[in-house]
Amino acid sequence: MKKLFAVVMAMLMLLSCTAFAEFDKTIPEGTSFVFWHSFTGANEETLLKQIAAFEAANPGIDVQEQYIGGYNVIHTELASANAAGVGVPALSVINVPRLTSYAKDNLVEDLDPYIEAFADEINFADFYDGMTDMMRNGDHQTALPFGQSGQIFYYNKTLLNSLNLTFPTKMEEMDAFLETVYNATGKTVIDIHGTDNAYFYCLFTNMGCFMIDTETNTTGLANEKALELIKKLREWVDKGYIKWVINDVGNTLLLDFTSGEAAACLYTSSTYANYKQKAETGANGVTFEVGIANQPYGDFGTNHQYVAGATMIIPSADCNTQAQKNAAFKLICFLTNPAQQLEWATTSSYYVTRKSASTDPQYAEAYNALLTKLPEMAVLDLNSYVAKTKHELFDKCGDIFENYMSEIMANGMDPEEGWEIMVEEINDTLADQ
Amino acid sequence: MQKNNTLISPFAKKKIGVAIRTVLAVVVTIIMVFPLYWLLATSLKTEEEVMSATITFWPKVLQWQNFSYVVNKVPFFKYMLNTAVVTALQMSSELLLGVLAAYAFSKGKFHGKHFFFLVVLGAMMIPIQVTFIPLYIIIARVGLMNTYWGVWIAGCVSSYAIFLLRQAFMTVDDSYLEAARVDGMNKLGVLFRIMVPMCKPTMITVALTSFMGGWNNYFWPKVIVKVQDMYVLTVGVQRLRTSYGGEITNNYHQIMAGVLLSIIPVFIVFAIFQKHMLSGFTKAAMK
Amino acid sequence: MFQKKKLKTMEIGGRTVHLRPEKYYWSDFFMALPAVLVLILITYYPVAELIRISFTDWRLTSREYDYVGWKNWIWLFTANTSKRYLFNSLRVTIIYTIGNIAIDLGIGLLLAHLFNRLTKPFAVMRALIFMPRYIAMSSCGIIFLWMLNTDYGVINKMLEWFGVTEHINWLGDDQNALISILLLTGWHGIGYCMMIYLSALLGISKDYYEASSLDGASGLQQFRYITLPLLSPTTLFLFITTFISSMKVYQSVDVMTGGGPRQKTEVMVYYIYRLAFDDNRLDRASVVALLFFVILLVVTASTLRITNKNVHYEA
Repeated sequence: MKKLFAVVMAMLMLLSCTAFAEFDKTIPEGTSFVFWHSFTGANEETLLKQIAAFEAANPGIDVQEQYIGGYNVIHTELASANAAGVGVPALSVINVPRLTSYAKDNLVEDLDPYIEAFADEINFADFYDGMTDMMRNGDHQTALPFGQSGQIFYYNKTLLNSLNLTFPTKMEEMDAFLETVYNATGKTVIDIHGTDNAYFYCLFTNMGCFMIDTETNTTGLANEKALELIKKLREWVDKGYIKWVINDVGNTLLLDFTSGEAAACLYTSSTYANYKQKAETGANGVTFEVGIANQPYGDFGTNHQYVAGATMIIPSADCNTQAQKNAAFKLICFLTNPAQQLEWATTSSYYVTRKSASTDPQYAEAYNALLTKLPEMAVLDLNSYVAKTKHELFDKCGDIFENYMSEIMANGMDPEEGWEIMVEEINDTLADQ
Repeated sequence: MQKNNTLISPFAKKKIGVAIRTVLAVVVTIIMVFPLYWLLATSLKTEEEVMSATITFWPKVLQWQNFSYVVNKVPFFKYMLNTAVVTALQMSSELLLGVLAAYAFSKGKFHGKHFFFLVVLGAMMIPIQVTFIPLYIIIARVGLMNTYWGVWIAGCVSSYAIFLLRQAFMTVDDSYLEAARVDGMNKLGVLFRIMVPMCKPTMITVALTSFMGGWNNYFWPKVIVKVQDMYVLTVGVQRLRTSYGGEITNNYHQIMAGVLLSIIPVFIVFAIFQKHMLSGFTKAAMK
Repeated sequence: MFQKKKLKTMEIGGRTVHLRPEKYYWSDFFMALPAVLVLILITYYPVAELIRISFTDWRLTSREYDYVGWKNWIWLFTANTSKRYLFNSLRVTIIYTIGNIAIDLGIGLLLAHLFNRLTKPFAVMRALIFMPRYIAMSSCGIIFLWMLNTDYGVINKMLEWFGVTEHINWLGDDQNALISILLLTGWHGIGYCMMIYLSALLGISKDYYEASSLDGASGLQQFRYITLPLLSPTTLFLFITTFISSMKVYQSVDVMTGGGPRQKTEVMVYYIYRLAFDDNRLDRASVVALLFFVILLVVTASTLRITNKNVHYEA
């Protein structure tokens, strides 16, 4: 019976691809599905609360949410479950850079028919374009934004105010800024997350150097400008202005920043609430106000801000029925709804993914509540966020990039030598398919 | 050196030797125990104290609530029950299958005995991190995911246990077996009534090793169990780590409390049996 | 096989006596069978699968795959990327293995001597040293991760007392990262080697030492000419088991460094795992895994063959 059902469903899905066939969006009573996520602590509590609200509103649907681990663990588990063909969740959170290779392997559902079928529950055009664009592969929407974060600079506002400084918005201003702060405090100015290229990649693209040039299938980091920037960063590291953090990164950044050891740090926007609370209560001995700044402009003239963090996919595996996938999509609709997004952002400090959340008067109260709790969120213009190069080897090339950056910044490798072998290694990787 | 110190009597020399040796031994022990001490100290601190730039060697105020936090935050006792069930299953199958196979490989006579023993030993060389995908695929397809049996199956036989038991059984003199057989005892009788009791220290060692393996197993249970209710302790403790933006940030004081709670049963078992450990290893070491 | 069936002969008192052929029992075979069958299912079947997969182009995240002949094997021996990472992981694994064997066996033997006293306090101290072995590596890793934190870890803070004010980057530095892993696995494993050596030491008859003392042998000479040779079967046993477990090391690397910095701690098993899960290239992971098994098998077999001649057994 179950098999027959699956066959029917598979046929229905096939039919749905053709233009004239109707997408079957029914969700029978008693549909239950599994949802994998990577959120812990207060974030998880909010998520569970929202899921409970969803279940109350849809008594026919039962969501079995499971915390699996960090992104790496989720990717591993998804891949192995997919290989077995059983135990694949109907809904999962993954890390954005992984999506391209998943889409290429047809691991994820094409969400276009869902968006069309559930049009009255989800206003697709209301999402920030940069976010949805990052989740489009080959003219199909393969995921929807949820748990989005950016790579931002946190700074000690109290300290900068006392020095009469603002956080630089342009790369050219950086030198003077670092020097002034360093001379005043004698301590590290900026801690940089050194083991994930997402954090410092933006500095490079704002100089016009991209990870992958899709036309030549080689790396754009081969550009001399990249070398210049690497040398500059190294110079700052050598002078003690910048600390390139490469182990126990999450804890070290938190400790350095909240204990006043570093005046600023470059990390994910999703720790804002946590940092703010720690800094304002003086949990690590120093009380100060936390400020947020975007990535600085480069002389290339563009100001790229990239979305990163999580995204929601519906795996295409046959072990989930169409009804389960529909129910999963219904949950996406619910969770990405502006009202839920505002609540989620207020506790988790992940980005609100909907434009209307800040413009539509019906959300004004919740939006103000968000800004009261996390005032610096207003600094971030989510409209300026754009998609990165979508390439299935981006993640892997990024690994090599961050490895050499750590080597040069933290382990004393010669910048020119490191840059040369890095370029060679990335090009080898791109050529090796 | 011995010859130069003629002024010191041999008795005094011996005493000095013992003193030096004791001091050395104490120093080594302190170094080896320090990480465990640090585990205990960290588990009793507040987050602020753990994450502070100045180190305190003993908590200012003991934070017992770290332990209650762990127990309330995750279904800790359910994890412990799961771990106990899986460990018990694993121990019984490892011992039973191990004893049978060890008898066959020590005293038994059958075609291909040598070959099959190599098959058993060869299995020790294959790490599960490399081979688990095909195994995972079968286990998942027969529906054993998220079950005790699914966790048990990957560790239900241990080559190491077979090897240790075989070494011990080989030292049992054949005349005992002959005598028992003359008395009309069958093979299983000989095995369980004579050989197993004679090799009690090794049996205890193998049982303890197996207990340790089951209790501390991490990789496979993590792969095969996705439902929180079925987690074992090692996986559950990792669950205590918080992640921001999908990246793990360690709330060390609570994790350490979890780790400490999870190893208490192991300490109890070993405190009881540790004196048997030494004699149990003797036969293994003697080829 | 055939030789065993031949009648065995024995010389007794100058006469050749034919012995009965050795008897084989099915019952013995069936006693070994369950264990062997289970091992075949849980370890050898997956290996056979890996052989099959090594001839496909199976990406883990894709549901379809084709057979591609020797393509992956050619990749293994010719591609730039393979050469770069494979040789690196081989080198790291070998350095780690040598280091770990030296630490476990060397310090284990020293500690066995140090703790070779049958008094109660020594028994307690022995138990304490053996204790780390009871704890899951996944948990031990977290303890060390915290102790070795560059700026806030207790180790660097304690080193300050001895004048090392420059904080050591234990896990992020090329040279130190592998040392940190060796510290963790050494701490975890020394107690076991000590116990095994100790039980062997207790088995050596006192007569040897007394006799040699009368002959005027020094403590060092006794160690060199009596203890070491008599411990050789134990050393061989520990060498083989430590060798295999060191080659297979994964868990400690996973918790501590994740293979970094820049693959400086990427051991073979970790590399295979990364191929399968970071790159989703199960096909390539399979060829590397098979190569790994061959290396392990050849080294273990030749070690046994070479050392068997030089090992001394006590009567």
